Amino acid sequence: MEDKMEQLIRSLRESKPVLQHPENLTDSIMNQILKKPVHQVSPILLWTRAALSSAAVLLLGLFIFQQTEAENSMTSAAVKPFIENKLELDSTCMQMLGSDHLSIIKTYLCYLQQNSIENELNKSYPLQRN
Amino acid sequence: MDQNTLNDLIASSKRNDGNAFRQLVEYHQSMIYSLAYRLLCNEEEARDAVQETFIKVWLNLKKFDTSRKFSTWVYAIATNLCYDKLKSGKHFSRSLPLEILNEVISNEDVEKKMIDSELGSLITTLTDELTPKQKIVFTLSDLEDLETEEIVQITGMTASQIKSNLFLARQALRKKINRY
Repeated sequence: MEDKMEQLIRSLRESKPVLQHPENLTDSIMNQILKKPVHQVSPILLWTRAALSSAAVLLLGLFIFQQTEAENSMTSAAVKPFIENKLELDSTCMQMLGSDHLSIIKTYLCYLQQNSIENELNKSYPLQRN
Repeated sequence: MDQNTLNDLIASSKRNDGNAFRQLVEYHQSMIYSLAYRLLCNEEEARDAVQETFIKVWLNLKKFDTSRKFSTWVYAIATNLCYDKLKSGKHFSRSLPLEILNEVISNEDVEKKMIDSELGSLITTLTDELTPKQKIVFTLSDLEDLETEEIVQITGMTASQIKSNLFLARQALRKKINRY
């Protein structure tokens, strides 16, 4: 059996497939090659491409950094240390309100006082936390 | 073709000389066809594989390292193309009818029985149970009669991988012959 297998392999080795009409195949290959010329890229173009790519990445990084910075500054500005109280009809200050000038001034002063107290409290809040 | 002429043709082809490349194609196409036919067992597909191989050679010629053997490089490109075709399972090859295979194997003078038109069918029938890698290693080693070192360069496999694939291929072939 070993001999038979060796014989068969030798036979397959010696029976070389024959290429029919090799000139047609060569022509076909050369025609295909002419359709696909080797694309030559100049070194200057390659350098420019690399430089532009690097610049684009750098600019994108800078843009993202600036955006983050701007967002951070807006967030910190949005924290208002002072509170503006709205007028409430049942508040202590509103109860002082009358038709004469003096009561209006008193109400105004009352609000000023309350605001200043609350503002002081807000100012001292971070200190209290620490 | 001597080595100096071959080197001149490669150098000229690298400078986009079509005539030089034509001579390279004429010189190498038969051996590439032989490999492709033994792997794909189909004339049309083998011709297509040869064409695709030389187009790839032309497009990548500038990357070719002249310290390497040109034919080995071309073989490697052709083998990769055939491997992809074998792996995809889309290629078509005709098996030999059982009675003819039986006749070929049981004949005392098996070598005389081989005729060119049936070669592809016979290889297909014998190797249809091999994996693409086993078929490639078996073809390169036993049919193309290449050294292990050259097969390493062509396939990128290690010597031990080649030996184990060849062992499994021969074992499968032996089992097949035993059946007839």
